[in-house]
Amino acid sequence: MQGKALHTSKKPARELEESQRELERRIFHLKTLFDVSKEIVFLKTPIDIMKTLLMMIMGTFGSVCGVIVLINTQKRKIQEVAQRSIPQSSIDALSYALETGYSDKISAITGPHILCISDSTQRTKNKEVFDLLSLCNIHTWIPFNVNDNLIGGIGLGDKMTGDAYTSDDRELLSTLSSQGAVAIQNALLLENMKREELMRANLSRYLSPQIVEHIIKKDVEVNLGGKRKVITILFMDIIGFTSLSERLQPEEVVSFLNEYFKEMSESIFRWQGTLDKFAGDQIMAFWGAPVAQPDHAELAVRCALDVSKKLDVLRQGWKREGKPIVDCGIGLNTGEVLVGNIGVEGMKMDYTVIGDTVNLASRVEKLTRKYDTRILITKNTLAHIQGSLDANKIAHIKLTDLAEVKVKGKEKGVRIYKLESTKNYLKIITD
Amino acid sequence: MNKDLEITVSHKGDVSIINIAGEVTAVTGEAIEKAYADLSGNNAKKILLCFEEKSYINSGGIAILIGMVSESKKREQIIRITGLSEHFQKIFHMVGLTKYTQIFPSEELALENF
Repeated sequence: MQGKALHTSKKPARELEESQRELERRIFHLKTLFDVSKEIVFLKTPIDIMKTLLMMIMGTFGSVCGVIVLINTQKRKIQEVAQRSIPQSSIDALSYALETGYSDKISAITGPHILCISDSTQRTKNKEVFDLLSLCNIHTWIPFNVNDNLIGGIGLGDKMTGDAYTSDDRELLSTLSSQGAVAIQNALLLENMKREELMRANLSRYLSPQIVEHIIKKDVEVNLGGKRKVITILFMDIIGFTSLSERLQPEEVVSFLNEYFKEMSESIFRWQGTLDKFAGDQIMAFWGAPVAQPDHAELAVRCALDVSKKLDVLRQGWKREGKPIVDCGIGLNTGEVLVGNIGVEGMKMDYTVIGDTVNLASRVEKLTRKYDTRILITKNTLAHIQGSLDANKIAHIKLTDLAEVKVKGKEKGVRIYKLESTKNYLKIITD
Repeated sequence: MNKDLEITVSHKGDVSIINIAGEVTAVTGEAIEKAYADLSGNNAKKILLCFEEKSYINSGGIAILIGMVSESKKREQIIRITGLSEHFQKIFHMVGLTKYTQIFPSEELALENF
């Protein structure tokens, strides 16, 4: 009787111990789920998330080595790799294999299919994949999807205990990989937002808001390297600035210039121009780069007319306020230029245009004094807007053929035309 | 957020002791890795990890220790552990660390058994 009682009490004790161990294991796994979400929520970059997630997973299962790979399926490139206790040469071999053809095989294995080398059926069916993963002593592979173009995989080596990964282990791994995927996606969205903000801040200095948004949203590649393009350039200069600066205090000159530049810049951006520079009292802008604008000449002409109209309003205001009244000269030319980031990288670099077309636009602007006119355009610019003129798209303007100007290196000169609006917005102001 | 981790290194005879107090995670555990790397650089062959009683170790911290124990095998070092609560002793056993390193109930006993 006593013997029988003893035999009965041993079995439950053993079972009790196993149940206790199983309970502790599950609690440890639950704690890991909680710790992972707590740890990775503060991490901002995909690589930091991957490194931390890999450590947490390896620590949970006692894995001797591990890797997390992020693959861009569109570019067929490894985007990020986090690894632990795997030689770099093995990682390089795995990365090379994934990029040169195996990524299709890896990406084909998605969804709930965790691969374990201990599963003989899987081993037979996916021999090539396991051979690839064996380069890094990876015997368990957990795939996950971040978004349409980004897939990932968590690869684990053997456990220190030597045991196989159980179905419970695979369930937890699946949950952890999903947590990781969401965190990585959020980090990528955050990175994208920051990149957009920086791009917006940089481009807004010299591009109109519409063009900035077009570049950002359409993901148009802005080629800032040197390129030859046909564009339209506008120069404007204040007439009477010298005497103005002599009559005003320095701070009044600055205040005046800022008001003037603000108004003129608004017109340039309104007509989708690229603001090149302020140089003293001169403003330079161009159309047709960095984003292609087939109607660059028409936009530039409309901007010139808008500036002229604005100046009339400003002059009326200055007269009313008893301030000095100035005028400006505007010159436009169209032709081929070299456009790109010119300067010294890391020191001073500007996205600008150079060439004879630019020089001619500047000369034409200066000729506005000689011909006592506000806006002068060249035959080159006129040729580019002729279609719009014929279609009456640019109305209420008058063009007067004035003269021919010599062009450097060319036998034949270029005709210049006075451009004026036939709409009288204000009574003409005289100084 | 992680609590601080305090690491100090001491020596008793030919045993180097890394004293650990606080929360050991993947991030804070880098300090333990650095201390271990420095000792290895000085050819330490016997290393005792001495945890303060209230130390907490999450999975990331365990991964740090797994890495150290794996490295110690290659370097023919002996790593012993002491000061762990019963809870963490069970976890270390669960993940297989006790196959490669021994846990002792006290520093004195650990030092005697190197």
